[in-house]
Amino acid sequence: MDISILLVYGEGGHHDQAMRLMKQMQSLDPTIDFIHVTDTVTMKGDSIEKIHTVPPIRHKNESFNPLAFVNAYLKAVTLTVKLVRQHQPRAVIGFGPGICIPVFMVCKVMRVKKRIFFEDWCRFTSKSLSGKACSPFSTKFFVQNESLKELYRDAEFAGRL
Amino acid sequence: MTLSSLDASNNKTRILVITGTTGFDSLVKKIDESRELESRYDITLQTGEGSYQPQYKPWFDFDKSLKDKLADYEFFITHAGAGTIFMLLEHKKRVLVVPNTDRADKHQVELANYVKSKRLCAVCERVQDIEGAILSIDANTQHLQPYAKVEFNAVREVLRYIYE
Repeated sequence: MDISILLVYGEGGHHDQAMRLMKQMQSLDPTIDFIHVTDTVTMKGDSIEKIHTVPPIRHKNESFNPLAFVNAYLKAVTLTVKLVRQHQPRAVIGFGPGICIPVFMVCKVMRVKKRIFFEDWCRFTSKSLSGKACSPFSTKFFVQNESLKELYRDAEFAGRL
Repeated sequence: MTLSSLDASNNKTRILVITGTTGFDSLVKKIDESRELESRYDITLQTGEGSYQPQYKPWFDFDKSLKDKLADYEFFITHAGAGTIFMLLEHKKRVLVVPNTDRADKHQVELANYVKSKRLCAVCERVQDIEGAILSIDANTQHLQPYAKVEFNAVREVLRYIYE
């Protein structure tokens, strides 16, 4: 049976990083079944079949709203539980933003064994919220800028996507 | 207005302003309202999800095929979004970066500092200085260094790790 991988990402750079890694992986193994979880609709229609959208944990142009946060969080939890049951993914790969946090937590609880997180490539001297929160739930953690290795002790640097 | 309706027949220097999906109202408004720039440059603005609608210059909100249209412009002005900056640098473009501090999170300054310290892009730290930065964009972006990307080299390792 082909293996499934959950790919979790937001818009802009997160999305670009995810697409870059996915293409590189597909060129080596075209049989992998990627299941996309994203918090934006602007990127929809990239001829991706299995794409699921969740509301963003916090909107970039608005201040923090606890109600929206809880709502987004619960929706992401429910969706992840459903997707893990349905597809039994071998791994989850996350790129940020905050929406990765509930997904990674659920994946850990539901024993998705390989949980790989890529810290945002715009980070050079500080951690992102999703990077901070997902690092304890990750089994492999990549940084995209070498300077970040000082902040994340267990992180790997293997070039930039 | 869309990108394709651009009149490419005049000889003014063509500049594309990229704000990413988030939008960058203060930058777009400032450039749009500067009438002085129009005599020298042909500027197209991206608005993203911003709420300001340009009055004087051609604009579009999203364009997925942006990458295929890079050759239509001589200079690029962009928010400090990593996706856009790395894409432009990989295509060896001359870039002026304006970190978007309108956003709730201020992390764009980090990437702006990086490209500035490595001399990969010119940087205009404050939106209010953008007019002057554009008027001297040629000089500002003349001595930039080529971007040498360290390619991600762990794809096989990631696959092996997932299979094991």
